[in-house]
Amino acid sequence: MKKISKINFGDLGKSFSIFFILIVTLRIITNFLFTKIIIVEWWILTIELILAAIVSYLYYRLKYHPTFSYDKESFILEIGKEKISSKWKDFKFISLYYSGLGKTSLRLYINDIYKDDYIEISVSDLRLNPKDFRSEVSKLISN
Amino acid sequence: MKRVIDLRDFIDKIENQLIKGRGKWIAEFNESFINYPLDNFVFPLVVRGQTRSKGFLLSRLFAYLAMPNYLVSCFVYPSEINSYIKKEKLEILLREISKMMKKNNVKWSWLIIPKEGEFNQRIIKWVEKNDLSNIGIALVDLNTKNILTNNSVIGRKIKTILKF
Repeated sequence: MKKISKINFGDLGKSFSIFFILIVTLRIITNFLFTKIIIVEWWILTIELILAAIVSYLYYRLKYHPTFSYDKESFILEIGKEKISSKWKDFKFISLYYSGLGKTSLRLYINDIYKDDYIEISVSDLRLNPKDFRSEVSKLISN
Repeated sequence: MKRVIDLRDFIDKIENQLIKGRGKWIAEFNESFINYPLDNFVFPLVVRGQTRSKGFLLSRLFAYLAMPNYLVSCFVYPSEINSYIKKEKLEILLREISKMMKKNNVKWSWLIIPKEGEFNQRIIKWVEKNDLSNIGIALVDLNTKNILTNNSVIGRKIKTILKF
């Protein structure tokens, strides 16, 4: 099976920002509650940055990291810990969906394109050429 | 020397133009299908979208409150080089598109028929007289870059999105 897995820096950056702000806020609140002063030291900031980086990376791997594996018969799509596997022949239609802000996905419809009965593969997160990938999948579905 | 547009290039161009927001004044096209089957027809390109745009924060709120969310489609069905598309075939095409629109609540559609050559007079006259209000029809001669549309608001607006 061919496997494609790329780090999505957007989601990783988002996780890092959230955890960094959370850790700093918690530290400041705890600091203030016990000492009534807010300590600002470079070594504390460094520890917070490293901690945020570790926690956010683990969270990113659990929630956002995309992996796509496929062969002529089937594919497996993993987003974090969630896994979807299916056969190409289960799908009838494919489309490229542009959700804005540079995000493009390939949608695989089971039956009707006007029903929300589809699987979405984020082409931009996997850093694939959308039209080439669509052509390739189109051939796999029609086989 | 005038550059003749290739059919394949033209179809790619329409897809890119619609997705990048060329028709934004009327609808946000955000999904494209290739080789889409509809009854006995296979459309090399179908692009669909909706009239409500997806902005950011305030513009999204404004769009949600002020704009209706109608579904719209654009079908591209090329006519072969050495043959003329017949009026009867066009009528069947339009009938199928109308059926699909009714079934899926699609408010209006465009049907673009590009050809690397001229169209016959019979089809030109038929399209010019056609006044379907919810389907815009455009005959595009890729050699002369002439665009002929049907007599409706939706039809006439196709010319603003088709830029060579």
